Amino acid sequence: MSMPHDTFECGHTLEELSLYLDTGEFADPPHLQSCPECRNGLDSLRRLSAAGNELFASDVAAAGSGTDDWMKDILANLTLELRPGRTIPLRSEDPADSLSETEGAVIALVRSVADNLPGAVAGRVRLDGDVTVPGEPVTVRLDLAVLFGRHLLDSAASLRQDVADALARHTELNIAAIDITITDVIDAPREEQ
Amino acid sequence: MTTPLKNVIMAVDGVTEVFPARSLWQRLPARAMSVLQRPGAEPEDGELVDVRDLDGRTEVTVRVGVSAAARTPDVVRGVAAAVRKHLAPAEVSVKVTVARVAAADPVPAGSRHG
Repeated sequence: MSMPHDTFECGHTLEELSLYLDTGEFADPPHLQSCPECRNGLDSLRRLSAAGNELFASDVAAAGSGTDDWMKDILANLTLELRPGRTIPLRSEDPADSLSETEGAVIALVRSVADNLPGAVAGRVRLDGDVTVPGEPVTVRLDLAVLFGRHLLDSAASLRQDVADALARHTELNIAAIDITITDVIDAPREEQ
Repeated sequence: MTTPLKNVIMAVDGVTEVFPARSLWQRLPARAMSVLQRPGAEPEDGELVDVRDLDGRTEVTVRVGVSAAARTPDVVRGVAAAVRKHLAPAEVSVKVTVARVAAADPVPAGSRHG
């Protein structure tokens, strides 16, 4: 699979994670237990691979080739998103405490919700707004690649609600809007006549 | 102190894992020093829970993973309360960061096309 080579903060790459999923080989196996960013990356790659198999059930090899533009975009975005990012505060009961979650954890959460939508794969995920200030309005921008023939409006409405529910459960962000953009409509390969 | 504290944190409902409190690049100098001081020894991994004494106040830093089925803000406040209770009557400040929200079980490697 053609993979971006950008390294994460921990020094590893999406390509190494992909190789690990395929072969089990990794230079520092204990690191995969202790690095949340690599764990999130492995989750995303597994879902992406499963989605690829679903979308191209008739041509599994093509799904894993990484030559499709939509998959290249997703992989490039993953590299950017698998970083801790900004610090998102959470209310504490003691003023001496400092409670927070990473932007990377929240983006990975949104991505996992989107990837659960049948026939869809999350592309770029962004939190627009100052997430570091409690109460500031934040807009979630989510790009999707969907399989041709799906009812997009129904899917988008359902996904918007699922993302809103997940963010309400796991963050204290003031979500002003969830903007979903279908950036790719994937036409599954047809069998030759 | 660190190991029991990790157990206290893991016992909080919704916590799935405790990650090293400091990221790898912050831990590298200590790992390098460990190797220099004990040639041939494997470098030690960073402590999962960072506990420091700052002017009589105990500062605890921890990074956790939270279950997707839990409510993250409640879990994080529960972690802070559990740490404070464990270290009572010490004056404590707790820094908790959620680095991952997901199911607990990792999928084995080499299974992508399985």
